[in-house]
Amino acid sequence: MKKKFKFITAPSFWLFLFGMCVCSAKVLDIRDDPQDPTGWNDGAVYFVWAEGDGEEGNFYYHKITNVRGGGTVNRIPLSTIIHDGDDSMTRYNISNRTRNAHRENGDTRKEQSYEFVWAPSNNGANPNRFEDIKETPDFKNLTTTQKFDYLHENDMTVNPIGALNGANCVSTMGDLAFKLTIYNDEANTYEGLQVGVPDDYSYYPSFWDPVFHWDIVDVSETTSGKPEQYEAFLLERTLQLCCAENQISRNIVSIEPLNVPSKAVTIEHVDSEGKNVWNITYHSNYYDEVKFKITDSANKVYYLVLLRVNVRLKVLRTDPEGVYAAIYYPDDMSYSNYQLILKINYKNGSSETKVLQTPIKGIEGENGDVEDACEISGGKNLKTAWYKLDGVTKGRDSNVSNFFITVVKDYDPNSQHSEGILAGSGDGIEFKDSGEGLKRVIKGGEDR
Amino acid sequence: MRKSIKPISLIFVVVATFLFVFFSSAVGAYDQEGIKSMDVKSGNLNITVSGTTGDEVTAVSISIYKPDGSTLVIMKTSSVSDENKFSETISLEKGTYVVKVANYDGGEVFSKENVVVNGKSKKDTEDGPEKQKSGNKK
Repeated sequence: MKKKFKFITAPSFWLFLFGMCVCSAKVLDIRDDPQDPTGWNDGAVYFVWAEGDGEEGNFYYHKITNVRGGGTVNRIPLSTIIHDGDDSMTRYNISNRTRNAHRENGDTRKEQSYEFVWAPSNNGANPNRFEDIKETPDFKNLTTTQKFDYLHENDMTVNPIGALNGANCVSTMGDLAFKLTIYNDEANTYEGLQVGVPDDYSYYPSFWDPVFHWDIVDVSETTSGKPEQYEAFLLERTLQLCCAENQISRNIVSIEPLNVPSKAVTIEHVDSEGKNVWNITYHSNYYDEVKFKITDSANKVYYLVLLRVNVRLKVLRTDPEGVYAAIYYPDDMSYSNYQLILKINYKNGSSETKVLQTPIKGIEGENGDVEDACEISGGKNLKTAWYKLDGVTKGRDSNVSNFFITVVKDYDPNSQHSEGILAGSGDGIEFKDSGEGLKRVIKGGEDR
Repeated sequence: MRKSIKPISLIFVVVATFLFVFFSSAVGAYDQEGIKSMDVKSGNLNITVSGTTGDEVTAVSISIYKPDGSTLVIMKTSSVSDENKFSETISLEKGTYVVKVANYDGGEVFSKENVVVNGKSKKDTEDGPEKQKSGNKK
C-alpha cells in the first residue's frame, strides 16, 4: 500500500490527529472509569466449567486477573485455566462445550458447560459475588446444574454479547465491559483471522459497537462442510483479511471464493512491510454469503463464510407482537428510494408475496428513544428505516414457516428501467423461527 | 475547369456512409452491457427463465407478474455464470404471467408477456386416485 506522507502538511492531518486523540481518550475512559456502569472495575473475572466424573460433570472455576477493559482483547492461554479450588490441577478441556443438565422435575438436556462469571458484583444493586459464595457450604452442596442455575438466576454470569467462539477459542464481549479470548496455546491451533477494511470503514452501522465490535474469527478445524462464519456490512464493497496478531502462525498463501462465478469477487494480495493482507472486493450485493477457501504456507486449509448484512429484524416496545425489518442505506439517499419485497411461506404450504412501499413513522433509536420520523441515522454515513412485516407472526402458534426479504430501489413495475436491488439473493434474505426466535437462515455458503 | 462529381462517386459515398452507420450500430449493440437475451420455457407448474448478459453483469432479477404486468407474484434473483449465462426455474400455479428480467444492479427491463403455465398440482394428482377409490367403493 502506498504511504501518503503529503498528508502530514495538510490541515486534514491535524484534524485526523485531533480525532485520534479524542478516540484514544474515549477508550482510556472506558478502561479506567471506576464508574463503569457494569461495576466491573477490579480487573478480574471467573471462568467456571463442568468437567470430569459424574453424568453432568464436576464444577470447577478459575480466576482470571489483570483483565483490561475497553476494546483491547485480553488473550488468555488455555494452559493457565486450572481449577483454583483444590490441588487437583484440573484443567479446562476446550473441546468440551456441553454438559447434561438434570433438573429436579426429571428433565435432562444439553446445556453450555462453561460461563464467564463476575468476580465482584456486576452492579451496585446486586450484592452477590462469586468471590464470596464459591466456597460456602450452601453453594458447594448444590449439584453442578444447580450451581449453573444459581449463577444465572443471580445475574452473576457475564453476557458474551455476540463474541465469536471457534474450535480452539472461547470468547466473551464481557457485557460490553471487556473483551476476552481463552485460546488453545498448547497445540498452536488457534488460527485467528482478522476481518476489516483496507483503510477506514466507509459505513459503520449503529448495530455494531465501535469499541466492542469483534473482528477476529477462529478458523481452526474448519472444513468445507463446517466453515466458520463472520458478519460484515453489506455496503462495504472491499473487506480485508489478515492473520490476527500473535495468532495464526503461518502466512496465508491463497484465498479462493468457492461457490460463486469468478467475476463476482476480486481477490488481491497486498504485501507491504511484511504485513500479509488480502483485499476481497465484491462486484454486486447479490453475493452476500460467499465461502472462501484459505490456504496457509504449511498447506493447511481453512474455510470461512463472509456474511454481508444490512437488514435486521426489530421489535417495537409499543408493538411487541409485530415484526419489523430495519434496513440500512447510504445517508445521501431517502427511505422513499427503497421498498421491500416480502415473500411469506405459510405452514399450510401456501405462499404470498407483498410489496412494502413505505416504512413506519416512529423508529426506536439505539438508545431506545422513539423518533417521530420515517428514517433516522443508522450509523456512520448511514440511515435506517423500519418496515412492518405485515403477515409475519412469531411464536409456536405462528402460521408462518419462513419468510424472505429483498430490498429493491425505486420499485416501479411499469417502468422499462430497473434501479436495481440493494439487498437479498435468491428468494431474498431468509428468516425462520426454529425454536429460538426469528433468526436469519445461514446457508453456509451454498453454490450460486 | 470545374470538375463535376461523377454519379459513381456519389453512390460510393452513400454506400460507405450507410455501411459505416450500420456497422457502428452493430458494434454498439454487441458492446451494449446488461441483459442481451432472455428465453422462457413453461414446464409442469413451473417456468425456466434463462438468458445471456454482458460481461459486467454478475446477477439478475427475475420478476413474475400477473397479466396486468404490475401485480407482483414472485421475485427471484440469480447469479450469472462466467459464460454470461443465467437460468432459474420458478414454481408457479397454473395461469398466465408476464416475466421481466433486469440486471441486479439496475438497467433496462426485458419482458415477455402471455407466458402460460399448465400442469397438474400435487393436489390434482392426489385427488385423481382418491376420487377413483371413492368411485370403486360406490
